[in-house]
Amino acid sequence: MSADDGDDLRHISGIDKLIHEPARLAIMAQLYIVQSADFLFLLPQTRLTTGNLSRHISKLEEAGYVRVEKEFVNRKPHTIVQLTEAGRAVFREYIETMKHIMNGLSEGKS
Amino acid sequence: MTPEMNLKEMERKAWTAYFDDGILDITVGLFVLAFGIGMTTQYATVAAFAWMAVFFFGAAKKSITLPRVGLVKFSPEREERMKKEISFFVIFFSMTALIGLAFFLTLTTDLPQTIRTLVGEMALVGYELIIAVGILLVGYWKQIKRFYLYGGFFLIVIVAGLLIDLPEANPLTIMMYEFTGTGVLILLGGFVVLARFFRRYPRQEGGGYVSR
Repeated sequence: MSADDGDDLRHISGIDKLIHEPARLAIMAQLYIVQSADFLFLLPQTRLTTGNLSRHISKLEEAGYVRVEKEFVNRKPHTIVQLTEAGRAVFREYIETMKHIMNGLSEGKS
Repeated sequence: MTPEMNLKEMERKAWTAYFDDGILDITVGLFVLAFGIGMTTQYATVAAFAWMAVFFFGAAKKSITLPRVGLVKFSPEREERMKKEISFFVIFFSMTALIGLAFFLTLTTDLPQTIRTLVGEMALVGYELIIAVGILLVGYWKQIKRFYLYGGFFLIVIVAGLLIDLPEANPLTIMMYEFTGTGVLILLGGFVVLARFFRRYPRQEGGGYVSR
């Protein structure tokens, strides 16, 4: 193994595992492209069940990546979710890291 | 495809999810159909009220789309585009309403026959073209490809109406068929999309909160 290989591995191990999980990645990506979205919008877009979506949003909220606001509209609970600045930065960094890794992999093939 | 392109595509899909309900199609279909019916002198007033289809749009979005798709605040770029779109449609609807009013007045007041003929035969073709271009622009602003098909169909029908020589037919009758045919096509398209929307987005029970 060369020193470069070691660097690449360090790059891979540096991936944020919290958002690397497919369901949370889908939530982060959906929230990244908008300013905010409600729970109802995220359900079909992420194709998660209500329970799964709740659980993953809670994890992202605990990490400080998303902000959850709850309100009542016509006496019904309404939940709005949006990425925090930290969440946006982490997701941007994640994209850059993955792009770097993927570019490296495809170059290695040829 | 780069990640940026994928995110752009995701954003476009999130945006078009709001128009996968066929309600805009039905609204535009009603609008065009109302003009078709208004081409007959008997029901000319219907054309003047065609713009009221916009009330159907507002009510249907609130009662059908939002409870199923949810609420989103789109990116600042998209919000900016939406502002431009609203300005465009305000101008467009004002223009069509004014032309519709002029058309209505021409048909119902005692103007000389020469003016009636001029308005009836020349201005109306221009009016048809405005509506067809308007439908194409709905496709552009909303990024819904099927509206290009509707607009294209209407343009073909208009050109066919001009090319096919029917000396006995009243120009208004020909236009009535053009508007009515296009309106019915758009309406049918809207109902098909609406049926698909109901299957794709069933009403979510208890989906409005995050459980802890």
